[in-house]
Amino acid sequence: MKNNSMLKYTLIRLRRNYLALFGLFILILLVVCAIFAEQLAPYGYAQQDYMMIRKAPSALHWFGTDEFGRDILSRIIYGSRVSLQVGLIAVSISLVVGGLIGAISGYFGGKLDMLLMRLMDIQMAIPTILMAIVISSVLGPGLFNLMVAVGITYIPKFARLTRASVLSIKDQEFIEAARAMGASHKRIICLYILPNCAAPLIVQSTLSVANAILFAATLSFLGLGIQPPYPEWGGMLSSARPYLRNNAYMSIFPGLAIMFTILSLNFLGDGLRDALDPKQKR
Amino acid sequence: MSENKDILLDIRDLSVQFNTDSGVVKAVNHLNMQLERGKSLGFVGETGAGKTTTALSILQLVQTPPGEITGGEILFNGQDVRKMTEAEKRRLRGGDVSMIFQDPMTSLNPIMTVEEQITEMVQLHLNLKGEAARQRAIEMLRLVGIRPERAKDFPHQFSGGMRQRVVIAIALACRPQLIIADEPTTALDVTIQAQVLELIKKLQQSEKTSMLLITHDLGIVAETCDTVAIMYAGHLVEYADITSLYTTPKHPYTQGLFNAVPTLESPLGSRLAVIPGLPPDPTNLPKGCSFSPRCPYAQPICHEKACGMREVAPGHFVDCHFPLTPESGNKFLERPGKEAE
Amino acid sequence: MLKYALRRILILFPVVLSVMFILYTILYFTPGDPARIALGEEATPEAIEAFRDEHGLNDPFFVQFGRYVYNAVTKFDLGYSYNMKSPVAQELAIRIPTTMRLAFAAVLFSTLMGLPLGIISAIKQYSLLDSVVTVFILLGVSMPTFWTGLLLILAFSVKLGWLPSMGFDSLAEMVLPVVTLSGSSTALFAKMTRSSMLEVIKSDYIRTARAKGQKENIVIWRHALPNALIPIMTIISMQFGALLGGSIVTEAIFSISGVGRLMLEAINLRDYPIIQGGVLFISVSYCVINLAVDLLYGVVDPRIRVK
Repeated sequence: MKNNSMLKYTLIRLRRNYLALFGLFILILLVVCAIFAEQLAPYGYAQQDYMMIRKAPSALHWFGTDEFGRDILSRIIYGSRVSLQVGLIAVSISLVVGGLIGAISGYFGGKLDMLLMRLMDIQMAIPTILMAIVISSVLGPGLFNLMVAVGITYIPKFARLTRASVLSIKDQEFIEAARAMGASHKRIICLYILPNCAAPLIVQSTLSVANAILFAATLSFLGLGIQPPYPEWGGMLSSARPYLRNNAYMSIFPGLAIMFTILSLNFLGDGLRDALDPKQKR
Repeated sequence: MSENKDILLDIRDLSVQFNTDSGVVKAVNHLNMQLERGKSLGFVGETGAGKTTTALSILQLVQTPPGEITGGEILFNGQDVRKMTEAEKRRLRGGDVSMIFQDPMTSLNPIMTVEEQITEMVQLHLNLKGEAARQRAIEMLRLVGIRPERAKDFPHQFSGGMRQRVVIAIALACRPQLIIADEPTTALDVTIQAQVLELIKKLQQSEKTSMLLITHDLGIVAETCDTVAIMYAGHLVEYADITSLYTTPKHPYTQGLFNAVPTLESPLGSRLAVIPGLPPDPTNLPKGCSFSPRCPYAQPICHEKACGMREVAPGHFVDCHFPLTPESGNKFLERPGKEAE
Repeated sequence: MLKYALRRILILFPVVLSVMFILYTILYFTPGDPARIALGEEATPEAIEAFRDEHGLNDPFFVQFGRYVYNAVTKFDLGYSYNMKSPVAQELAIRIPTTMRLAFAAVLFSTLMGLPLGIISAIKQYSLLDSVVTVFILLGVSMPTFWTGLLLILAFSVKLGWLPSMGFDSLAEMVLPVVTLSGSSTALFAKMTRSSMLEVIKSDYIRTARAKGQKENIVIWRHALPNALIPIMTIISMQFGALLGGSIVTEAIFSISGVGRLMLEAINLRDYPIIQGGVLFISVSYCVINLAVDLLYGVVDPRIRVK
């Protein structure tokens, strides 16, 4: 019952935040594109037309064509599928693994806590791009490997966040009371501690999906990760580079797609943070 | 109010409101209050009654969006604070009127030494520089009971009580005419409370400063103040000297406040006599007397028309159509025991 | 204070060792035989075996690791790249100055641009300037670095022809890469500084400073600002790591021969010794910078200094 009213309250506050609503709108647009790409895209993403190589935007091809005569608009629509997949799955990996590590670390404390946090510290000593590059180079190119690589790099962040939330609530008296009543560790974690962590984790997940998409685009730009002809916005920018001088439009649209995706997720994440924070003074 | 006293602070018809998203919060409503030079006034009321806002208004430190002083005058030594120039206001703050804030843990700048925080004050108002300023700072620290060796320490190295002493030292450094102490002991342990109060009282008497002591604790007021003003819903409901108020309280709210304090004479097993109901919503104040919804003595006229402060005994003012007399009894205690929900 | 510093420095060693271990382990277990890479596809099994013996590739894992660490620490020998036919350390040494210059210039630029923007938009909250800065922050954080680079090249190199788009030697050549790399950092710093300032301005001790009759100017610059900037130091030092990583992208776009570009080539060629050496170098630099800022923190924040 408590969760219901909190949800309602959060939604009310969220509704007042225009930026967050805009973000949500764009996000929904993206999801629609991803799911219904076949229906929405005017052309196939690998459909080459040698008569229309590198043509500027026109009525036939709203965003123009690339160096293989493929319609850029269609590729961008299909690209949303890739980006969202990577974002969601990578963050899911980080959330589950990192959350578990953080929860165990925070709840049980002691040597286990120290060990796990040291591991997280060591991973954080390696800048994220490099970590992802190392993992990618080990696993090889491909969509799945990209998701795993990105997912692994975000584990420490979620671990720390969860641990902090767990610690903040673990020592409160109602937990002691629950233990005194005989509640098992599992019960306490699921019923009391996890809901408390939910809010910051939701916010962090939203923001991390944005980061993950950016990250995936960067890795694809560098040639790791998604391989052609499968469309990925970063990869599209990479192939557009040689044609910067004469076909600038090729470099603009994929970038815009990335930017709007990240922007909308950031708006949504910030909006969620403001809406979920009970101490927020309006 | 009489004319032949030496009035240091004269607040006339002050109204302050806050424009928030959930409505206009009327924090202070047509407040009238006077403080004589050299005396100390206890300013009593529940949390949210508007006491701190009044104090901040005197120093013109109310946050201007969303706060707004919508009317009235605040006369300090005859001069309206609201009409002062910025430079004059800055001279007022710290120089003529000093404030001791409630929470000593957060009122001090964490990266400045205690000595620096006092010398800043002294440089601003007494025009002392360098070594002379330092000497004054050390002198003030000694006055509040802090050894000179600790002058270069940082706030986090002091306990709560010691930090509050530092705050007091800062407030008194420039010999202000008026000290406003906003619940100076609320954040401290009871034992430290006594020490700090004694210190304030001693300094007030030796330096002959006037004091406005804001608190919700009637016990503290009894020990340190000459006169008392009871505030409710943004305005005064009773004002008198200590003896009169404590022996013959005339406003029902005041009686309720005294009731709520258990004493050694209370019969065993009796319930606390609380004032039923809640303070009014400042965005939606009741018509007529603001206390009438909770008042056990209320008559129909109380819900219709507010009364206004009137002098019902020499120097004793009440805002009530039917001020209490010794025969009125104590209707709070007669109520069928209603616990605070 | 000294004990605190010593303790922090000592922690550095196990961390670096652990990083080395992790990298070494990951790359050790990737498929691919260094002997085969070195000798080529046509090598005979005997030649390969001989090579492996000669270079100690048949020794147990920990012996190999120990040897690696020993060489790295005592002789700065990080192995040998069979692709480039030269020692890893040498290839790195040539490129390190360039990358370091790029990263430091980017940090400097981001700090000099980002902090004032954040401060001023916090002081003048709700003003037009604040709105402009907020928009800039939002865009800066959302635009991928490589896209910014491409757009800048498009604008200033291709269309306007003012600035070159390759290399990093002359001052003109440095402008676009540094601005590109700084883009998201500047926005991040502005955002963090702004929120830190806003929070500090609301504190009780700022109210106390005003109640002392202090001029508003001094309240902001001498009371609020120093307090607000303390947490920003950590953010700046953490961002340095991101910048070192982001240099890969910038070096790729602007054809700058730094460590980042070396990494990229090494990945494509599966040159594991180079990857290992490069990542190790960057990680160690990152740790050292973090340590330096940590110690600086201790100097600047009395709450840490006096324990």
